[in-house]
Amino acid sequence: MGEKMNAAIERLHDIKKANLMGGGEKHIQRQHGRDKLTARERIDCLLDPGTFSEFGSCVNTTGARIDGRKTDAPCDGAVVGTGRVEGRLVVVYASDFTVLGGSLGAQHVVKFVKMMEMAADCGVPMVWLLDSSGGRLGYQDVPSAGIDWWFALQSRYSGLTPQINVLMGPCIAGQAYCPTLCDFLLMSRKTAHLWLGGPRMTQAATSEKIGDDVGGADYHMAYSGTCDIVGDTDEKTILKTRDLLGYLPSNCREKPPLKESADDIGRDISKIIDIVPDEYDRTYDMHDVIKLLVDDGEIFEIKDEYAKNLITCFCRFNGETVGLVASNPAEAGSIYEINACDKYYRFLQVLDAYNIPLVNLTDTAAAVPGESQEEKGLLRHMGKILDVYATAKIPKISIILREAYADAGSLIMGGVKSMGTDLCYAWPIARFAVQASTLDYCSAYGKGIDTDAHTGYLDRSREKIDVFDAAKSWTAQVVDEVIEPGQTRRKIIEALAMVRTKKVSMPPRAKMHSTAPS
Amino acid sequence: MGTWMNGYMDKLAAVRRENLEGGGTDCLERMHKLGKLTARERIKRLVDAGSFEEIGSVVRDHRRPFDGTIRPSPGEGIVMGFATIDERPVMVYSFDFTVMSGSLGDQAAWKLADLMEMAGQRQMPIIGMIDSAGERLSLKGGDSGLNAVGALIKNYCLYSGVVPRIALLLGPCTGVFASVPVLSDFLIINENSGFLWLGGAKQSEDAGYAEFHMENSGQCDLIAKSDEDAIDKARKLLEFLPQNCWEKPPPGNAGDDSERREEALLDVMPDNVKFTYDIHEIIEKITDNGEFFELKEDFASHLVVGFCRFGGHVAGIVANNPDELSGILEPDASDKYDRFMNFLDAFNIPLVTLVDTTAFPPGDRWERMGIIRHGAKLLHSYSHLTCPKITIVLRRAYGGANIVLGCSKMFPDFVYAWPTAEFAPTGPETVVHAVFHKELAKAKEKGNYDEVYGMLLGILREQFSVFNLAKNWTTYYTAHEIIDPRDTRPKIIRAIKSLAKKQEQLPEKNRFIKPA
Repeated sequence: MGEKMNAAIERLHDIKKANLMGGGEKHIQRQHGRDKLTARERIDCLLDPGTFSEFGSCVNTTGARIDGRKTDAPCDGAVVGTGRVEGRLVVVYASDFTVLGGSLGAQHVVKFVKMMEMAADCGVPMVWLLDSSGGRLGYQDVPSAGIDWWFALQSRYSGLTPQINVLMGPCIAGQAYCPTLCDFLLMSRKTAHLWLGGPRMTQAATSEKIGDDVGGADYHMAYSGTCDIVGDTDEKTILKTRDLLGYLPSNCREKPPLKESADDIGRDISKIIDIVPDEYDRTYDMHDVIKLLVDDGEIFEIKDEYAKNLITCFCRFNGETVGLVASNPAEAGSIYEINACDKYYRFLQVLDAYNIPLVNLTDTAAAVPGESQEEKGLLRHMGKILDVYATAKIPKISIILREAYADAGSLIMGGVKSMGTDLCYAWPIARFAVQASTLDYCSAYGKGIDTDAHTGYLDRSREKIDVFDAAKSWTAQVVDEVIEPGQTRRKIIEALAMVRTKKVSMPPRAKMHSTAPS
Repeated sequence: MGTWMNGYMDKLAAVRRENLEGGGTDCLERMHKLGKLTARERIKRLVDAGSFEEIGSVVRDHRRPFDGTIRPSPGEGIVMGFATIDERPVMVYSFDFTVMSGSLGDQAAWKLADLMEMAGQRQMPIIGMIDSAGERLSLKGGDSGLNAVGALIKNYCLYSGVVPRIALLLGPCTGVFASVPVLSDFLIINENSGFLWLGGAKQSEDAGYAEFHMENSGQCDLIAKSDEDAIDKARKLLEFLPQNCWEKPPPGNAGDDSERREEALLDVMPDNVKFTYDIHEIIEKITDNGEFFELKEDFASHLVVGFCRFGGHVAGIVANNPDELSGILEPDASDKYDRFMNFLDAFNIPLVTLVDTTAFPPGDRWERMGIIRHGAKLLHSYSHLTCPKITIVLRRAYGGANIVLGCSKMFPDFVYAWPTAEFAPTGPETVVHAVFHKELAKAKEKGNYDEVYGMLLGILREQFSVFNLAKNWTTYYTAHEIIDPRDTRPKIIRAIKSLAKKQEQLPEKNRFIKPA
């Protein structure tokens, strides 16, 4: 090896060594002082030890401030590369907040967009570890940073490979679209803030002073429906990402990985009938049912504090990943309420995109949302989920526990087989109806409706039909089999085996999408 | 003809007679008293004379009456079949309100489920005229109504984006079937009789009627004054739509000069950029004969959407309206835009956006409504458009709003800018305050605040002007060309013509995951 090579290697080492310090000791301390991990610590937390392979480590900023001042920015604040999670390849991006606040310089953006492109082309999931102050405002190269290119590609790659965003810092303005475009957004309770306009920008634009609570993890979980999972700290949030990846395939051409389980298919679950009361007006927590049914009682819940009357979670049956969507009688409200529809809508798209079977546990409330929901467009939000359910090609399996009323949500919960449900099992206490509504249209509308309309014919659709009556007729064809509650786990596993090689075709469309309501 | 055949002919004549009487002659009169047309009169007005071919007219509700009283049920309350409108084949169904208040029965639901599939398979538009107090479906003792309604909704969804689906609400529509008008691509509601409701508690008088769904719920595209008006509007609407996603809309006679320059376009905008103007003034000066078929006019009126023609070619216009809320984008405007652009794309109709907006508003109120995910939804949808896309930047193109309306790397086909165009992450005044707050604070102490503020604002204005930014081809704040406003119409028409055979591919996947 000659001098020249030596010097060049030395130079590379110097850059890599300097990179490890990011924006410098002072900034690292400040980062730790805010209970935050640094970009590289986060990557270490996400990946299997020693598997990180970096790209673009020699990149630095090419811009200058509009007042002419130049700065040093190792990696331009974006640490990117590949690594493994439980042995499976992922592409990772971490913004380095110690470098100019992790802001988006021109090189920074191109780095992660190119990684995104690579992840999509190669069929590898992409994980964003985001902690950035946003656009590098006041810099000459900012306007060409190309966030449009980034969002356009991120959108076009949606559904190709999983995109997971872990937010552990501020995320403001244009950049705020990134986590929202991802399939899943995890936020650290301690460190994450997501705003369209941060406090200073909001005040400058509208004079409104927003409090600290606005834009945090719990805020976006409870109110805006934007956050999927909240973690207490950076570390705990990142570790949840590892769990989440275990339920997802690497791309839309694969199925989720199987996980060996020692949990017996025929395990005794007879206490399930003690959880679910046979009096219809008594409530129970569906979580208890789910945990009893699934492998090792393990569930990974999505949006657990949003629209709580509808549970969306990943879990496994005999090692096979499913997306489980259940009504939760412990919480009031119809699953047709707008927030519940939006929650289900997102989750079901993920399942269909990544070949994950849907299992519904159905016990709808005998309730129909009223005027406050109608006013906000209840029907179009309901329409969104009807559209996805009807056109999803994944296996769709349902268990009707007690009540299944079409206008209270059974249409999208496997309670109406002709919507495309593959297998519907019902418990012996199940009952069905078209309508749970009790509204009297003669007085609510009038205008020529027969005065005896309800008693004469309309109430036919409101009769609650016993499962044995429904199951007697194959033309009604709602129930494939009435099962004992204690068989539920075994039956779901049998059903999953049945539909494993399901393949259905749909009428061809000129474009990839429908014209569903928004 | 012998007596043998005669007997059968009498039987058929009796069925036909029953059909024409609907629920009974007194019921038909009641319809007219209510100011309504009957189911068959509606079809007659909608389709070409003599073109209606009915199917399923023999169907009856043959179940044992729920309350013991037998009621007439010709067609089971649905008159349906195929016909032509301006010589174009369509599928049509019409609820007969005289038959048990137009309620949806088991057989009727199966009739509709099949009609929706027929329309899809035969690749023709389906138009429904709804007037139904509710449902008399069941699943009791062999009844199959629940499954029928599931099949109906599934079929309707399967052909979403394959054939245009139009619904006219000429009376009530409740229960599960209430999802159908909303799943339809376009919904026209009669302001006197139209009522759309899932079935929950109703508090206020006006809830559920046309205005409520136009202004609040955002589910009504057009309000009609009468049945006749609704039907005429549906015929007009159909002129802008193709038969199916593989064909083009019928060619129109432009009747207007494609190369027309419009001097008056120079006078629409006020001299002060803080002042507003009505975007309709610009739209009317650039479309064929000044015609614009606006949809959802009173919902999120700060964003205007509708159909028009350019040189005879049908196009959809999406435009900010500075006259309303400064032309901002928020959740309602996002949903309005999202639905419309996806329709245009599904049927490959060119999208023309006219941009003058101060972007998405920040703050607690908007964040709670999920303003970010609504913006993301638009980014997501625009990115998936492969129809011809033409962006005209008129004045302010700020923040995320500029991106979702089709800026350079969102893959529009052409970005044209008026010389007045200004691109910025947010208003230049806001940027000065947000970025240079330290400098401004210092200046305040020094007493030269106005001077420093003016200097910084001047630099930014210069920097954000299209004349500066369009020097770069690759920035997202750019235009492919700065145009003379007077040439806007010929530029759009030439662009549309040049895109007639455009091909644009997306990666293959099962489905995308759109923000809610």
